[in-house]
Amino acid sequence: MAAVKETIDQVKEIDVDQYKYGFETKIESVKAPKGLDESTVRYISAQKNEPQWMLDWRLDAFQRWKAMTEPTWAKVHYPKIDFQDQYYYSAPKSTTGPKSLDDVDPQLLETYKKLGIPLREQEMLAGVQSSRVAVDAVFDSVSVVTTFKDELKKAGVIFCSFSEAVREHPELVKKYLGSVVPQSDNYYAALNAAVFSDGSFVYIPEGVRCPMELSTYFRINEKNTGQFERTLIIADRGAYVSYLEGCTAPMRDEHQLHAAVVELVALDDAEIKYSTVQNWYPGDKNGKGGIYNFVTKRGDCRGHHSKISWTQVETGSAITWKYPSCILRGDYSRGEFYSIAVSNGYQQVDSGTKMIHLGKNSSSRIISKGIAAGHSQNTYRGLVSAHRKATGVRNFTNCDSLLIGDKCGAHTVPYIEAKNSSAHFEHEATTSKISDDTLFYCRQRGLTSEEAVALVVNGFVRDVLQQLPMEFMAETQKLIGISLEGSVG
Amino acid sequence: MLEIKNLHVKLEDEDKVILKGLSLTVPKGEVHAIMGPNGSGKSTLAYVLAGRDGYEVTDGDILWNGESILDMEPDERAAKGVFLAFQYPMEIPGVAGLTFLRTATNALRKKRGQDELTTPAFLKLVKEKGAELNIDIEMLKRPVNVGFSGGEKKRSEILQMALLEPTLCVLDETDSGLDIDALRVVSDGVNALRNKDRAMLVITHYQRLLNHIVPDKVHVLADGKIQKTGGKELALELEKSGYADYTGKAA
Amino acid sequence: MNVAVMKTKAEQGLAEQFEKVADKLPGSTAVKALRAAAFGKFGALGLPHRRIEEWKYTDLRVGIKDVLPPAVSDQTPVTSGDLIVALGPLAHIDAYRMTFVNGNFRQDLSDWDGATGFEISPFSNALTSDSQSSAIDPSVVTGPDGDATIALNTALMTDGAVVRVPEQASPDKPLLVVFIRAGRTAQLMTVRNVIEAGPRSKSTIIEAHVMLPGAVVDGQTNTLNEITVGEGAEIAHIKIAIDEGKSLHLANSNVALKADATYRGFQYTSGQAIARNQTHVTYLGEGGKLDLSGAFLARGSEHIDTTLVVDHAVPHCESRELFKGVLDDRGRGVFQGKIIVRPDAQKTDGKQMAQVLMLSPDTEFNSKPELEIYADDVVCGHGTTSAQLDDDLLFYCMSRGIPQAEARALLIESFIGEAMDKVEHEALRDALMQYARTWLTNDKS
Repeated sequence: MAAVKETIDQVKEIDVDQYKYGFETKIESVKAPKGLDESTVRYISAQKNEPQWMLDWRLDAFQRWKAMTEPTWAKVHYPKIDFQDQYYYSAPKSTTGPKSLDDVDPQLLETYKKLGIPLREQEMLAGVQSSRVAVDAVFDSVSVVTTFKDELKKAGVIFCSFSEAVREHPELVKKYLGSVVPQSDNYYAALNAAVFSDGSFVYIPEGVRCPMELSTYFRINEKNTGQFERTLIIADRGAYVSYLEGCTAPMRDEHQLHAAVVELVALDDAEIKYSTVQNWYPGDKNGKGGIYNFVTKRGDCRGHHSKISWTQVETGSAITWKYPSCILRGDYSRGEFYSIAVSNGYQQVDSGTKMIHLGKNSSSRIISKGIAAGHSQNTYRGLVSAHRKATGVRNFTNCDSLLIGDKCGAHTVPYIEAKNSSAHFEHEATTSKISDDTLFYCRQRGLTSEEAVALVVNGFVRDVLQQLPMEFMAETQKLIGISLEGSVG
Repeated sequence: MLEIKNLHVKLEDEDKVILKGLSLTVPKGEVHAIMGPNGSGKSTLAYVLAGRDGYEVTDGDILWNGESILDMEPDERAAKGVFLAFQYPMEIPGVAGLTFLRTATNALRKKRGQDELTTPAFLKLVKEKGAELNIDIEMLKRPVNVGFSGGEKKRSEILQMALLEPTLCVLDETDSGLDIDALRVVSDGVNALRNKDRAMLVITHYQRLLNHIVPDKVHVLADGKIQKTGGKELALELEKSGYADYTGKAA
Repeated sequence: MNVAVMKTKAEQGLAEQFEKVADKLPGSTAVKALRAAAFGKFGALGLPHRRIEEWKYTDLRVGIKDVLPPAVSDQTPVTSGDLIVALGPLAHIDAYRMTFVNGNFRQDLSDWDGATGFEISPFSNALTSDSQSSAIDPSVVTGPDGDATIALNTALMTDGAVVRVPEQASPDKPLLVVFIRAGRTAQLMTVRNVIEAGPRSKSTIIEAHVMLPGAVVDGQTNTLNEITVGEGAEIAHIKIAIDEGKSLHLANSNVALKADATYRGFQYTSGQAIARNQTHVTYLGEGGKLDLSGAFLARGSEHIDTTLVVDHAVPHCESRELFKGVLDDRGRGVFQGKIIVRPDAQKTDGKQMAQVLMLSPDTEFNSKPELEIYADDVVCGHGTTSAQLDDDLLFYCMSRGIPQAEARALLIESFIGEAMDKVEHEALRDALMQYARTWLTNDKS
């Protein structure tokens, strides 16, 4: 397995304290003053030349947020966040946006290179036309470059920054914004609604199969800058889109707050496939630093026979609080959740999904693989529910956890609620360790203990790996190996 | 040449002594059989040779080609040519047999200072070895040993042995759980791998296997020591009289 | 802090009732102080409700509307003939017997003459004797701290069984502890059993909560078991609660397992408006084994909740749980099972399964099987399934000539039977199946 070899090589190159992506890019930026009050919200809106309705929406969210309190039910512990000690907006200085790739700050391109953005995307950023992936690159908080617009335009696909969508497609934004994740959905979603900086907007018109995979790379760059991305994807009747999101962040001493919101809407017969590789800075080997990641991701299978599939690979962040969910409103709709969550060091992961079955004969499938090493805590939290009127509903859930070392924890907290008899629910979960016998067997065949662990873990997560687009598979295997570095003695 | 000198082994976690001064020499090119009753320490010997955790060598030494291997990690020993065909091969869910073997082959090649094989070259090699040993390589597309029958597991072990090119082969109860047809395939495979540079140690409870893999020497292991050494006829003798003489003597 | 919390009508009612009966409840000065403190704690906690995670699916603030007067020294007449009728299939079990009517010990209905291997006495003795001379300390509760139902039990407990099985004893027959509801007055019955299985003893205890035919149907029961299983001891504890659709049944079983101890539990529950079986198992020594199973059957608007916490605090212990539920009409089932493996509890082997059959469209099943694992060298797993009767199986049976109703009953019996097979005592297993059959034939649909 080439990936294993690469993993081992990379592991040799770095140690935990030398996070591979832990470098800073020196680009001048415009910042809002620290702290959060109504004027911050107005400032952000003004910076983006937003129309009044958008500002009103933000202010409404801000009022709601002020009345809410932080959730405490997740199995994560961290010092209290001082929301007044954060920057809520920062943008590279050239906010008018580059006319062409030549206008892009070369340091930014260099950043992508160091990040290991796959060659194809790099080529594309450099203007090579053969690549078939469109990247709406988000650098800190503002989209600075969007490519492949023309080809997408021909297909009728809208793929742009959120700010642009607010300006150019207000009718679509107004119609769908907050329709899946309302402003007051939860504390972090409300915060996001008030101060979201930018993000991606995708609209696939009726009957269109998006001609390429859409991809966004997120970066957190400014010191103490909370990132508040907002993504909205709409697949109209019979449309299909596959969307990739990948993240890395520079090393920091202070904890960084991230509270993104992703809303997906699938109308009749539409399908959205959303894949994430999350690899933000997890903190050093003593648990210092690292990203706080409080994300609200939800898809609404609004139409009949619609389908939404979430695939996530979580290896980063000090704190992960994330439950990509599906509201299965349409009859015969389908929701899927495939997850790999790797935690090491002092990482805390509380992640899972919700499958809320409202439509008749809707079905869902959950495959979750958690790997805990070091001093980390790794929790799967999930809800599967069938509404009283939602007959013929099916769910299958499988949650497996693997423990590496005796200082970590792996937890499973599923809620299963069948409110009518025709719901057919199956849930199974296991927790185990990599047996000494298996490791010995691999080592007898010539593998070092780290190679053996990487091999066995990649086997453990195979069912989920296979759900990832090809571009992400190799990267993911690499990441898993790197994340588990130092986990065996 | 394998030289085991006065080997004393106890379990790491309990005060149970298993090997009590075992000495044995297997020259290159020879196949030696170790026979003995249950609990005589046969599997312990196999594991200690391969370097499994959980055993403590309290006295004696194991030399392979004149070099002590006791302080080596299991993968270092593998690089030196030590191969253990397991009595109960492990299952590794989600890892395809081919992936596992390619990873192992290249890890060993690297440690032995050879170039790593490219994927096509590796596949070609697997096909060749499979054909030589009359083993269908289809099973390598499935996860390692998962859902394999007893016979498939043992065939897969022999195929691995052929690919990893060891110089010291230790076969631990390779005949257990095999029907007569499977036994023949496995034995033919082992015989095909016999050559002048390779030493083999075949551990078994029953004489049956030795009809197919004819040893140069037979050692009787009981109560942690070699009690008797003889030619292949010793195995037939044991088949008739059983181990009572030796276990009696030990007590 | 919680003074300002709004009291529900039931909470206020309980406070009034407690005030009224406090002086009449059995117990020394120390016990009275214990009761007052426990009620104070309940006052601060209030009735459990859905905002408390452990009670998410069983909200007693909504569920308990009226507070019944606590039964104290109840003397409702019950004959031994009545007892046999009330016991139904259990009456045929050859067992020593200890009987309580409305929470009050009845010597005339009890019989453990010549019992070898059981030392039996009423819990009320322990409450009334001064603490020095008492063999047990009524203040000892090992269950979850901060549980309101346990606090209520301590405040209002009247009687129950104190059973000791001496070291190495192996009683020739099971002990049947019967709690009967009788009479036309709806009352709150609060009882506590203290069971100690001595080292290397082996015994079977049956705890049955039944009602006399014709008795008031809407009684309330709060029962608590404190069970200690000594080193190398084995105890089978079969708990049966059968009612007619209107009652409230709150039960706690706190089980402590010493080294190499085995607890085989079985819980059969049917017919309560609200039932909650809360079992808390703690391992105190290595080699402990838990084999806990149960069957629950709910119809009408009954609500039956099984909540387990299995706390693996030490290494090398094993736990097995298998629960089967059958729901009909608007019946609701709840299963919450939490397996905790503490940091040093290596080599833990824990498995749990809950399966439910939903016979009618309006049934509801909520489950929350949880794993909380802090040790790496473990094998743990859980599963839950909920589904309707398998139409293919039903068709298969019918194609072989079995009429639909019988085929249904057959399939349901075999479904529950898997759990009942865990009961080793054959006559007891048959009696349990008899209960289930009776339940099935009462099917009005």
